[in-house]
Amino acid sequence: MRVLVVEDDQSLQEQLVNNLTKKGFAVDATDNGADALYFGTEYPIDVAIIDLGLPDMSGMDVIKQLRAKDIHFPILILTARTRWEEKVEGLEAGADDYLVKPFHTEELLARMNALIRRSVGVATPLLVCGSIKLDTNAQQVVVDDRPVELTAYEYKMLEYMMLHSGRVISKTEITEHIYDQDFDRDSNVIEVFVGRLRKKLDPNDQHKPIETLRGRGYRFSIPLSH
Amino acid sequence: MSSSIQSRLILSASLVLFCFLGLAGFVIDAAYQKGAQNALNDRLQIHLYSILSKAEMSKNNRLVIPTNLSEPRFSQVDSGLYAYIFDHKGDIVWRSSSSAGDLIQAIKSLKSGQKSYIKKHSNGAESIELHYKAILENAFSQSNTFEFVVIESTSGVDYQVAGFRSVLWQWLGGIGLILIIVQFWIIRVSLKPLRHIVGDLEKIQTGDAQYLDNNYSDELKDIANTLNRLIDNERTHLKRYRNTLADLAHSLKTPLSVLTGIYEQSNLTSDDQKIIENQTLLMRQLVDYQLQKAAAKGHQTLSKSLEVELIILQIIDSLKKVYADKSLKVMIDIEPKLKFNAEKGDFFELFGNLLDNAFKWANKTVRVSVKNVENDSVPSIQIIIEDDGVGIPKDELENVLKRGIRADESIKGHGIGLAVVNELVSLYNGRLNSSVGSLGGQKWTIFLPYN
Repeated sequence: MRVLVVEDDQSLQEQLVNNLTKKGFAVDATDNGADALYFGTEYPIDVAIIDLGLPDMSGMDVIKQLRAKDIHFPILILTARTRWEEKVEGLEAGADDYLVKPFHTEELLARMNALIRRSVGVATPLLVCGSIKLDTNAQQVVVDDRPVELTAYEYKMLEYMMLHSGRVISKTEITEHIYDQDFDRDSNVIEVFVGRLRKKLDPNDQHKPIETLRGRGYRFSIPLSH
Repeated sequence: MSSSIQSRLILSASLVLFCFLGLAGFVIDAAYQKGAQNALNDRLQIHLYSILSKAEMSKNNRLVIPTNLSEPRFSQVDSGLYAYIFDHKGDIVWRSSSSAGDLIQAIKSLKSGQKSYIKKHSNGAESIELHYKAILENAFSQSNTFEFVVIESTSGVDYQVAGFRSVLWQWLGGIGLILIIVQFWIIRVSLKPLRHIVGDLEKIQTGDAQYLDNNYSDELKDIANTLNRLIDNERTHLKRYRNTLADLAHSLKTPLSVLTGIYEQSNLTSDDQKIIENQTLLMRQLVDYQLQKAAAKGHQTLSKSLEVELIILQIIDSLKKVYADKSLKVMIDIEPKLKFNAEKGDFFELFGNLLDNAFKWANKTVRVSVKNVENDSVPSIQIIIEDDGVGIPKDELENVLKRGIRADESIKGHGIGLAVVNELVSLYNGRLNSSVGSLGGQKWTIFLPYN
């Protein structure tokens, strides 16, 4: 999942980037509105965290301008301001949720995951594809009632594939949404990850959840039950 | 005395008018009476001279008066005009035929050629006597002293004066009345700009206008400009105050966020982590609470009246976004066009906190109702917000609503929202009730009196 962090306080931004990267997010971070608009329009962002108090323009304007450009990824407002008038104003401008500073990282992650889920039309935090269950709150994966240990990257890749099950996902798309921009696109790391996932989810080769479509990418073949 | 400028002006101007017209009437009346009196005296003198000119001494030294005098009233009994002639001994030697047995006496001390007017009252009637002593000579130069007396009743003069007086006072009264009406009109017209400015100020109070317009008379333009500046200052001041507080909060909270992040990843023991967590939470709540308390303004003399429905719908739309997962059913029953004179931010806090709580705890349904009611015969708005969640236990209610925050007493999951609501309700002199509603969950009923 690719997340855009717009926060002008350097130490808080660093902390957010560290925490989110550890949880398997691909993170683009900036401390100003102009860059935020650039990232928002040019990068395949899945969710944005925007601080309202920015030095060059208000976070509210960033949100308005992004929405005016028909950009629909979910936006979470990070604000120190607790006045309801401002919360409502932010949500009306096009944000989808708000979090008041100071906050717990866990709560931020829960809200972000909920927003990502909702953006693809999934209402519950538990994603179920046949016998594969992914709990976005607990970040746990269970196959045939057996817990499966995944790395952060593996987890994110599975989550992305399950959320877009039935659709062909190209390698580029996976790279863009799962890895940071400095990732070497020509390497075979995606193939390696997909191979590992297959082994962990389906050690006996029963379910065959991930299909390979030569030259086009991958498809999660078990439909997501709503 | 009434405190209205208009009644003061009318009262004092009427008093002046009344004194002026009264004095003028009195002076005119006195002058007229004096004039009538003088005219009577002159008439008496003319009568006297006409008798004198007709009186002759006979050769045997006797006074002869022709029987028909030029003035017919002398020959008419009780005509009110009488004449007498006394000889030097004071005996009546002649009387006009109009006279009856009167008690007329000569004035012996009167010297010849001397005149004397005497006013007399008899039988309730008033008359004026003119006495004149003259020496008449006959052809043989025998002279005799006679006293001529002409008397006229003043009833004619009195009647004339009374007639004049009644006409005079009728006119003065009429003029006075017309002047009072004219003056009333003038005062109303001159005070119109004042009424205009008062009306405009009331409009600002009820929120129907933002500023005083500029169509005032020259004298009031300065006042209007000053008032506008005052209104502007108040608004700017409030805005700056809030911005400063919000900036303060912002600058405090970002470091707090960093702190929270650090202790979450640190290698501290869980006890130490708990302490730091509690303390940062307390700091955050203190900042929030004091900030909201300071920003709450209550009934504002110069605030706009708010369309309550608009605010509630805005908040509900926002909350539906935030709580999208719950897909709650929201029942809204708000009296259309209901307006309340409050600070916008205050109402956002009030409804925001209550609705957020309802959305947070509801299972399926949230109900909102706002309407005009009489609460203890005071015109108020009644706000009901309820949900079908678990509700707040009675013994926790007091802590939830407690003003100010104490570390050990804040209830998990409720934050400071309800304490802020409680504070706002009392700021608006309202009442906050908690009960179990028909949906089975928490029901808040709030009464806010107008004014």
